[in-house]
Amino acid sequence: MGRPFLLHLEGNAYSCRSCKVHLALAKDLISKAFHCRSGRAYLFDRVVNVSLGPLEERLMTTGSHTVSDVLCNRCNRVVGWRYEEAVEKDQKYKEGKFILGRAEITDSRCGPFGSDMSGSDCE
Amino acid sequence: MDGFVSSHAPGGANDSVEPLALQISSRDLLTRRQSIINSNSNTDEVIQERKNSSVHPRKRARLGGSLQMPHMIKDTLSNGNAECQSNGKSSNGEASSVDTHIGPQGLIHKVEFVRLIQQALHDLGFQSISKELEEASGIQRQSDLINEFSAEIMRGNWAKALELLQLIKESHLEAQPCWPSSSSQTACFLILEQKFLEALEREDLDGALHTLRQELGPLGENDHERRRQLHWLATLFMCTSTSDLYEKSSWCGSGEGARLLLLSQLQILLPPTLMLPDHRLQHLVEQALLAQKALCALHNTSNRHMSLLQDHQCHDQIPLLTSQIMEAHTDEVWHLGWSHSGQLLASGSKDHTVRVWELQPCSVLSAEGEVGSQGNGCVGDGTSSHRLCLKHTLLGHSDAVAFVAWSPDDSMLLSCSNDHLVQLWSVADGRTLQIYARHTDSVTTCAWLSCGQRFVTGGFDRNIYMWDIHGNELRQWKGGRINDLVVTPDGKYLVSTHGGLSEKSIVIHDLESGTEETIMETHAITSLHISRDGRHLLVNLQCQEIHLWDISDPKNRSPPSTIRAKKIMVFQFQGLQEKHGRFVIRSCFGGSDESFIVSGSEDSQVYIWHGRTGDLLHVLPGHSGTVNAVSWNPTNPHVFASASDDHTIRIW
Repeated sequence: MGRPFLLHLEGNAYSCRSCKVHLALAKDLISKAFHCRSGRAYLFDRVVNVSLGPLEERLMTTGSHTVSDVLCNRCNRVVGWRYEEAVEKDQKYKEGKFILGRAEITDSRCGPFGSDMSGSDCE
Repeated sequence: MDGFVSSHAPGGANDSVEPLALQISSRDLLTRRQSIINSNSNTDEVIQERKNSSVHPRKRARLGGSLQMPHMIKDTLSNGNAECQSNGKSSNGEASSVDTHIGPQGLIHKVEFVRLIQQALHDLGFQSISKELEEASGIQRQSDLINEFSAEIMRGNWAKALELLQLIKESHLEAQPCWPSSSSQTACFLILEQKFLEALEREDLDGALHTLRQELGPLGENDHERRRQLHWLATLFMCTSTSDLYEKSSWCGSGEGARLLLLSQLQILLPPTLMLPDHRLQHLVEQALLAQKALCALHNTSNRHMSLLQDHQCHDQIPLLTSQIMEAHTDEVWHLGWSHSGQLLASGSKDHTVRVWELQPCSVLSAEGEVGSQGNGCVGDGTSSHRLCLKHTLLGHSDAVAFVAWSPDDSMLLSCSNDHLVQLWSVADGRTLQIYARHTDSVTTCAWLSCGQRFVTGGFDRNIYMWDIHGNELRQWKGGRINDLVVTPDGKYLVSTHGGLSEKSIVIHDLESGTEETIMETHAITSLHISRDGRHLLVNLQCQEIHLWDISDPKNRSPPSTIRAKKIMVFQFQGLQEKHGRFVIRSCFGGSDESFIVSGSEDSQVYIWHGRTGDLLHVLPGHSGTVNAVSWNPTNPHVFASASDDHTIRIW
């Protein structure tokens, strides 16, 4: 496997829930209004320390999309997916962006609604 | 040499001609256009044969093989006897085509070439032959004036020499209007200086004083440098004896040596057409050799001798086959490095150990390590003369070892680990000498300073520390998360990756002045490597590229704000799917002149590029896991080692 090379993000960052490796910066967050199979999901512009799985066609509530799964580099869990191609024109804005499931990530802030280890959604 | 001149066999029997021809070929004389026909056709043919096969290699290559010179010219030296002199004279008028330029591409000025040949002969000791050549070709090595001038200098007749210098200047001023008058003044100055020093040596103080005042004085009027020199010369009056004089002035006396030296200095000042630069032909030939060496893409040999008879091209000098596999580690091997002597190899692994291997002659087949080694771990192929055998297994870390570094004298080894510790080991017996525990996160890298007493470590806790070998902390810097750092061999600069916003910057710290300079890269940096001369920096990037930077100091030290590093070359891996690498891959320079770039890769292969041209030379499969690190043996340019995730180290 080699010595893993993992980027460390400065500032508010979301990390993988199981291995704590940094995945995305809070400022790269585009939208919180997505859903995935396990619950809510966030749309990010840029994600680090991940690798991509093979391309797949998936049918989602918004239409058919070509996506590839996103895996955490350290623990190899599937943390979300990346939109490679969208069929519908109004879905094109998602192309190239990443979805991280809320259940897979934890944010670095300690909000008043709970510690960053809690599994509940915090805004 | 003496045999040459005395073999006056007129008409030359074959065996007296053979050695002559051999000597000719060793001097790579390309034949001139003038045809001088020897009455003895026998020797003629023989000599022509030898000429044909021993033509100057550079020109031969250009012709693409067979040389068909329409006029094979016989050197006057090929006979070395009186017969040829008359031949030469009589056939002077037979010069068939009076070309001013010769050579396969017509680049060589004929007259200059002949003069250079004469000079080469003269230098080699064949003065009489050189003279004969002058007479035969009608081309003078140096004008009479210059010859006289040199003779006067050698004899020490300074006044005459100065007169001649004036004459030379005047007579050539029309031809060489660009000859600056200042250089003629400098020439006068040098001659007078020699006169002065010799006068002092003879203890002719009056004469020396006279020279200093009347002759050297006026020359120093407008020139600060010269005035200073004059003042310094005046101080030499205080010297009490000749040996004192020699010491003070670093002058070697009035013998022939000093006068020759003076002649060389004067020659530099005079225009080259008048007075040929010393050893010019040899200089040109060496330039050609160096050019060939530079062109040789696979050049990798420590042998300095290159044949003149053939264009230089290396084959099979780069190791392509695995000669040994070492399987002692029980987990991924993350780093390895040869000692400076090239006899030992250290490897650090995820199995928390550091192993030290030693090159031993093949007859010692069952050499076991001394400390805690489990099994030999050597798989040799038996044909190599040396094999690496496990010498020590160093236990002590509680987490993976990320980096190992040899001290400059190879007596100590440093290991950096994810358990936040740096350990200093003694190589001879494998004991731990020191443990450094200041870091609060994984220590990723370390580098020795060339004194062997101090070293620098860096890690993810954003600190760089400088320590000495006795356990004291000397300095501390705050940086970003350090992925890698190197120290230049002259000890002036510390180059580290800076975990800035996206770990794309390299910071060069000036260790003496404390200033810093930043270079930005295009992607995140995984590792650094510096060349042995400290001029080039190899940067491995996460985007699967390697960038080569030139970080040598410019001639004029520019202010710290100017970026003085230049990216020279980008090397790319081939055929990798992932554009974002997941692991730290290390690369290094390889080859006898560090002209190759070698790197491991995530596709389990070793890549070798040519450092100057950027061409990918070889891709070597063999490992079954990511190759994390490679290290080229510093003393044997035909051996390198690679460390991989498949728990093995391979020697190539």
